[in-house]
Amino acid sequence: MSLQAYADARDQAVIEIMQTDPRVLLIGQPLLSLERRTNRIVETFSRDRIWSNVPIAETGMVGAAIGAALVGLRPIVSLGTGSFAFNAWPQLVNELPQFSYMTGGQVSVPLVLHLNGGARGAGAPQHSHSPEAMLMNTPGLKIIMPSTARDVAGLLRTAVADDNPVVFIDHVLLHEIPGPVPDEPESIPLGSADVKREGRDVTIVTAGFMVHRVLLAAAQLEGIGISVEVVDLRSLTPLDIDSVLDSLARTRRLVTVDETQLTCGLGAEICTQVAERGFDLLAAAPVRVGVPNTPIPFSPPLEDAVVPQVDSIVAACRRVVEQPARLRH
Amino acid sequence: MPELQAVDTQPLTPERHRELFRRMLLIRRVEERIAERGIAGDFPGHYHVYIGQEATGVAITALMESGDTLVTTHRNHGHVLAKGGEPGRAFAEILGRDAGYCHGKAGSIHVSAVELGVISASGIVAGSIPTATGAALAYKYGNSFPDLKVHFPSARRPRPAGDAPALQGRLAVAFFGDGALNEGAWHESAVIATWWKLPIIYVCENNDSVPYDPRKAKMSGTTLATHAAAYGMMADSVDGTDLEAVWTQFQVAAAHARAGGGPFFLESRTVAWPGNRTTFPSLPLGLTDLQHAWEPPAEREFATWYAHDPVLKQARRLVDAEWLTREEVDAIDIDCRAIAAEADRWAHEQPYPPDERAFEHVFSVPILEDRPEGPSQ
Repeated sequence: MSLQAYADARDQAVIEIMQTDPRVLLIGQPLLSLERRTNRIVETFSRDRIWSNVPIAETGMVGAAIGAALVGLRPIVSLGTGSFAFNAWPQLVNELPQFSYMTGGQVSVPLVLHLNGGARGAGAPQHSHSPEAMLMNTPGLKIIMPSTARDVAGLLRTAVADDNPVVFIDHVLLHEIPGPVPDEPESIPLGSADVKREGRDVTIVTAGFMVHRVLLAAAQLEGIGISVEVVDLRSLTPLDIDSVLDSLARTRRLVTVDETQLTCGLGAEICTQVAERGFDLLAAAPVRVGVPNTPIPFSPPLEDAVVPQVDSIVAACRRVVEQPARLRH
Repeated sequence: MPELQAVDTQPLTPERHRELFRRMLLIRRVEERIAERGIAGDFPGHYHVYIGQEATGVAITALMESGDTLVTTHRNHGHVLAKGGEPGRAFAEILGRDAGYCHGKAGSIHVSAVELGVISASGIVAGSIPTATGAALAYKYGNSFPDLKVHFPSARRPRPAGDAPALQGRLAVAFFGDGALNEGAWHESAVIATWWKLPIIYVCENNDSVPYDPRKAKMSGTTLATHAAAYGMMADSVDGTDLEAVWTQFQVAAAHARAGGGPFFLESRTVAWPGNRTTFPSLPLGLTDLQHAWEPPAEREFATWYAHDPVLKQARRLVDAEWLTREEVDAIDIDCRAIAAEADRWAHEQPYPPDERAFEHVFSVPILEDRPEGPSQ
């Protein structure tokens, strides 16, 4: 094990993947970070492999990655900011996910689309989107949302090896967070949630950067006698609802935390699936912590008011735990 | 603007002329069958046919090399058949049958046949242009990695047999209509393809009938070729009703793109086919009567069509050159009609897909979420 920053582990994984497989090329902004990090990917490869001098043309860029994948390459295409996914929307939701299905399986499209999603701080309404809920609503796309250095390396290896399109929801606030990474390259299967903290009283289901805020909230709650289990989904499609139900069988109380809007958001989907498949497990009504149905405002206090914070997560857990247990029939 | 190199174009031999005429006529007869079935309400949904554009698709696909890829549009039937597609499987797809190229999940608007190099059929105007541009990007990538040999990734198992081809030296061909030039996807792809000098031919089939818009493509003060040339790509226009003209001009375009000169925009101008006026084409002139090649009907309303119908034009040329007699033209026609009728009959005998098909190929390997479960089932 070694300790690495999230972005370093991510870039190292990409370098190893590209060194092993000549079919992998990088199109677009090479996994850009907001900070002035040295980009080791760009330093390692020639311009044959890194097609970063691309015109600002997201529809064209994603379409080009699709075409390259269709004839046998395995591109990683990076649009930088998650909100820019909307500039590629026609290709991203009405071409890419349909190929395998609409051709009756004649082709599949093995590409990875990298987006820095979420509120990164002062992104204002047009650079702060969390498009993962809309993309979950699009059959044919897989979605990974790793939260740690170990997970990002392991999930990226699986994503590039996958024959299907995989959207990689990154977050610039993750990039400097250090974590242990195994010395031997590791592949983590998609659809396997990970319990990041064990607990007895309430299960928080989350993913991506929010995992870290949830862990801070869990530490605070421990101080007031509430034991929190943290389930990190790691991938949203496929969605490991079984692990969520396993955890709820122990805690019987559910809070979801994510940066999508409450309406039809990630939390809404988790609560729905739990209600359908695990209604009798619940001792109390679940609570969603997400972005209220507003855009993300620029002003720092306003941004904090709508994006889940440690305080709002703590408050949600208290509400769920303080509800009297619903009787089982 | 890049320089165009002189190209030694290969002329069409009489034998090739005859062969390609037969292919054009087969497309015409199959499309007429499809239109007849569509008019009768025999299959659901809207549909488009390739009538009037046969010379373009047939000449270009005949010049494409193995390993080149083609992306097509809502008007895909002609391209699939020109590439050697089986009329029965195409017809079955249009009817939504399991034996269709895409197991009935694509329908008329989206027939693709990867085994023929037709890797995409987007029903969205300009939707296929970025995809084709990406295939060209892969071929350019192949120049740097000549040893790299890749298969089409396929969700069907087993994968297609045969050795994987190299990427180097291949060509992408994008077909689209004149209306596509109004879409942002065209603009973005044109910028990318010229910037990276990608080996792609943009074949703009200007069939004089933009859907919903009687004023045609809404571009002011420019022809389509000058519009494309503004991106810094080679651009030319050709009479798309003339097999030989397309045959010659496409060789110039392909040589340019294969030699690393970057994209080539080829506008293929055809005349409006009178049946093409809506998303539900009709057969206002009935089935094509080959006698009209020599004795067009007297009424003036459709005179332009009869003068420029590419199938009639090619029949006239072959008989004038004495490469075929009129009796031989009729014999070819009887053959093509029989193939179209058999495709129609065979496709109708094929079963619809089983319900399970709806849940297949969302991903290359199914995941649990592909199927409904829980109490709502």
